[in-house]
Amino acid sequence: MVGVIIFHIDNMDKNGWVTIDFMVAFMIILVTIPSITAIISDRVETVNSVREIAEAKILEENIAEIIDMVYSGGPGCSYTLKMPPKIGNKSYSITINSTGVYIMFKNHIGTEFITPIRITKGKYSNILLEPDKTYNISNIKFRNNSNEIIIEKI
Amino acid sequence: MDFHGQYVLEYILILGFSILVSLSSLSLVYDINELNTIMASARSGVLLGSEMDGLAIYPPDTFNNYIEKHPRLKSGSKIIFIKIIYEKDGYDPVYKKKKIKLKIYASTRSVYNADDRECMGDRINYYVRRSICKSFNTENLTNIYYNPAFSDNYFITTYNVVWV
Repeated sequence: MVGVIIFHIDNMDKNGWVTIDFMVAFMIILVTIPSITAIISDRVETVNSVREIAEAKILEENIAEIIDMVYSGGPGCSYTLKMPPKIGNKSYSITINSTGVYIMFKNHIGTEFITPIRITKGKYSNILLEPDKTYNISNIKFRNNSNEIIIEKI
Repeated sequence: MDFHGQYVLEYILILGFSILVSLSSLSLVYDINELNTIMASARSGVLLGSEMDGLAIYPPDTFNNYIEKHPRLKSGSKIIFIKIIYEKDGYDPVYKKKKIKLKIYASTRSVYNADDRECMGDRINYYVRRSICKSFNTENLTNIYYNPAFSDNYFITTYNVVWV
């Protein structure tokens, strides 16, 4: 009954009639479109939210991988890390200590484990990496022949 | 039709009958449409909830709780969504809405502890209810856990996620 909306221009006389097919199809579209719109907007918001959180997780994992790489490279190994200014136009913060890398993003916290090693920035062992800044991560020999990761802002 | 604007009687009878049938089925169509919207929103919520479990990024209170009681959940877990069904649960006289309960079936091979799975399932259910409330703009009718969720004519709660 719905079928194709047929617009018989030549069948519309001067009194402005439309076919019953068109009216029924139009009513069905009016009922269906609001619910489809609600579903689509919710799904788009979900996808955007997941994309941003995935970017945050990837940044966290990259930093953990860099620290592990510098550690396994031995004394003298270093890496220059440039922090992104934002994630998905939203601010974030990264904290590093000897237990892992922690990211705070959209009022959520995630963590990525690293090799247990002493990490310092000057006299601090709980290090905050700021967005849009550049850091040098280097492996130096510490006392008792152990290694230490030093993080310095450039 | 002749020049006096008359219709064939059969055409009038068929037209009237069609309109009666359409009007009588309108409420059924509207009800089915609402259920479809609820299920589609629930699927969207399952997607977000399982991704949040997979990426292991949580609110601070939850994160601190997991450090002490569920350390496994600090790492991500892969979750496979199997299906979602609803069961009719009668009528709620307080809210004057029909009641349905959603049951989600999911699978994970990286988390075996029952308590950890319950935490992941609770998160999925939270995002399911939240997604339904956002689709129907009923966030102001429920609590911070979106439990129960509301649509125009339904009162929605969730079973614990069934892990298969």
